[in-house]
Amino acid sequence: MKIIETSAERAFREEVREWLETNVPRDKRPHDGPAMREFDMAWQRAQYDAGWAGISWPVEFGGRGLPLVEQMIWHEEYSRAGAPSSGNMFVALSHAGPTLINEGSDEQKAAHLPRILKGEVTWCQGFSEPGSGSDLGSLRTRAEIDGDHLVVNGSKIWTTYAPGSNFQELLVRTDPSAGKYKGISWVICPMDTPGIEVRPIRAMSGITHFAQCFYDNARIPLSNVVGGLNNGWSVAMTTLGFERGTANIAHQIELSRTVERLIVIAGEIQAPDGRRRAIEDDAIAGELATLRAEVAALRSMTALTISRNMRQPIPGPEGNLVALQFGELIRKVMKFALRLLGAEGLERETRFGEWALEYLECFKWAIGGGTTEIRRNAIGERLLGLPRGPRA
Amino acid sequence: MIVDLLPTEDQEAFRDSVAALLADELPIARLHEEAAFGGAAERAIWGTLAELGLFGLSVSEARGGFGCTLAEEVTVAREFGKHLVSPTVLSTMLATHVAGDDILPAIMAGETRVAFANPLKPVDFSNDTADVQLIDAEGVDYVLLWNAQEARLYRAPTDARQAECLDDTVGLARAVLDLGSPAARREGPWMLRAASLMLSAALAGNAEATCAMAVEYGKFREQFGQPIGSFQSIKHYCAEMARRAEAAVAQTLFATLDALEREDGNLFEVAAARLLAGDAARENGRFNIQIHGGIGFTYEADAHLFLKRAWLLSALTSSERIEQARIIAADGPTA
Ligand SMILES: Cc1cc2nc3c(=O)[nH]c(=O)nc-3n(C[C@H](O)[C@H](O)[C@H](O)COP(=O)(O)OP(=O)(O)OC[C@H]3O[C@@H](n4cnc5c(N)ncnc54)[C@H](O)[C@@H]3O)c2cc1C
Repeated sequence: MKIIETSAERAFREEVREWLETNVPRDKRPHDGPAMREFDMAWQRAQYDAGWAGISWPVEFGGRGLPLVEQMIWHEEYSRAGAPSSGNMFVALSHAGPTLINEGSDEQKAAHLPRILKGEVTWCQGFSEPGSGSDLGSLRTRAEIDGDHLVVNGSKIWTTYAPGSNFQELLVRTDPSAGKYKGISWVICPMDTPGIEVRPIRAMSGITHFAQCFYDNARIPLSNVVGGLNNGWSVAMTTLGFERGTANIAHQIELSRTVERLIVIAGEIQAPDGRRRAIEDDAIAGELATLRAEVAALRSMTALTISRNMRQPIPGPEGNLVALQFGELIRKVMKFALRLLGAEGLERETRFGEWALEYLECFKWAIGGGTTEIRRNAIGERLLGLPRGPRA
Repeated sequence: MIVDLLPTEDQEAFRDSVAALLADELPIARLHEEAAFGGAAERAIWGTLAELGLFGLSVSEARGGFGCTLAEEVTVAREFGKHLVSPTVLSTMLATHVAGDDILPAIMAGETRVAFANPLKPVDFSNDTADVQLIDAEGVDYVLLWNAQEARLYRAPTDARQAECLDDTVGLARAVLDLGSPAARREGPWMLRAASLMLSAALAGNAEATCAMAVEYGKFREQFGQPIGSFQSIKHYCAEMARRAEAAVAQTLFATLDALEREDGNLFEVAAARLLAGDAARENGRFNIQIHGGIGFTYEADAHLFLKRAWLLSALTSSERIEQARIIAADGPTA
């Protein structure tokens, strides 16, 4: 239990801060469509050109190969500078890239990793299906071997940023006779393959970020299988374990900025009784204080998780504690925001218009990437050792 | 600020030696015998506690102490929380941050004990007197009182009136403290931080202990032919208990390092720790009782002991409203 930032690391922090100060895009990130995708790719390219891309990726693939503390500093400064989220680059940078680094062949790495870092391509994640969400292992999209190709039939759903993306990390069933988790393969799927159709889906916020993908005899080279045929479950799970918790830093800092903005707003607008500022209302101030404390705890929990991950080779189930705290807390914060704003929060074009959108969007954090309930199961069973229910 | 929140090797070794002593000498079962109430069990092994170095941990080596910091004290306070150790052990440790050379050697030697004086109103040291509750103060020599500006030791009042405490394993007495002539003083907000963090650590340990108890019972108790911990509602209660305990522990440890880094910084991190640790202990206490069913409601079980202690520690020179006010008045989180 100690402070571990050295003076060399502080110097690194200064360098990062300076670069971000002048280079974070000033234009607002478009909400959706091709303009948003181009924005995300251009910002990635700018980071690459300045030597900041792939901060934790091995040097041989164009990354910086920096240790954990520098990664943490980078994420902290990145978020504090208000830099845009990686958006359309997210799956490539945080999921497909690390998977290829861990499990890909030399050819696969050479073909994909540099293009990702340069912001030339975007990826999406084709895991969930209409019939397989929390129970991902039940997936049914089939891939049959035909010569040196896989022939894919089926459907994936909730595929974020699928429209426009170049590649997809696709989980398919290659051996239906093997056990549930045994006959699955992890495949690099070029999205321009004939037979693939992408139908955008509109979310409750009105935004269209995800889609359903249909595969009708889509032929994908066998050489695109990553980590071995029928080994896809373990490939997908290793990547989940690859992330040491540093990505949470960004979420937590952003949520902290949100709460600080609410405190400023509460100091400006009137309390419901119209006789004082909202922050002078004890109930409002009390709730804001509790939210501020819980966001601070989220920061501290992230630090504790990373501390553990520095000592163990594979990150343990403790990461679910942070994800659980985040998913529930962001909804509490957004609900509070709408209650604070009252009638003004209803209008989506006013100075507070963004809050309605952020409120509607926040629900995704308790669903995507594992629901709150599935996380509680994982904490109960894998962390606390309680008897298993149905296998997740 | 990049931190490592897990104990260093030295911290771990010291924590383990304290935990081993507590397991041997102060098992929770002691609190089912009235003879151990009011800190009597701790008094019986006070010499051993002193020999371990508890009452000189953050005293400089020049003054005969160990030259450690609040980080080590907080680490052991978390263990005390798990064992419902008398608050007087914490207050005596804290007193070493205030005591002068006339008092300190006796505290370090285990000859002098110091109890918490819990003020019924915010303390104003320019007043003549303060109405206080004395916690586990049987036979103590001094009491510790603080506010955001200052901390003081006073001679223990001789005319205290015994009262019954919600936590009946703890001794509570009412007294009117003469504020005129302190036995020791330390100006500045340090004690507010140190005491808040020690109490947060004990509360976090309390929350961890009830989480562990609930999980154990969930594995052991069977109904409908299966362990109750396989029922999802019980499992999810336990997961939430683990999350609350983790939040309390993490925030307390972070706030401790923050306080050591910038002694004159804002109070936000400390108040956040206190708010969340109190809440975690009380909420986990309630769910632990629920998960134990009928047994959880009995006097014989351990569950109520933790809930009662959680309320006591939460209310020492603090309340939810006080901490919230501090949090909102402060500059905000440490970067
Ligand atoms: C915004 C967003 C983006 C997404 N992006 C992607 C993406 O890019 N790629 C991708 O592959 N997927 C993506 N997903 C899908 C996401 O992973 C799934 O939605 C999620 O895993 C839940 O699956 P489901 O929707 O089928 O719900 P279900 O699994 O049908 O769950 C319905 C309800 O039942 C509960 N439930 C299910 N099983 C259990 C259990 N064992 N115990 C207790 N409760 C249970 C759930 O918690 C939930 O409340 C995205 C989802 C969202 C919301």
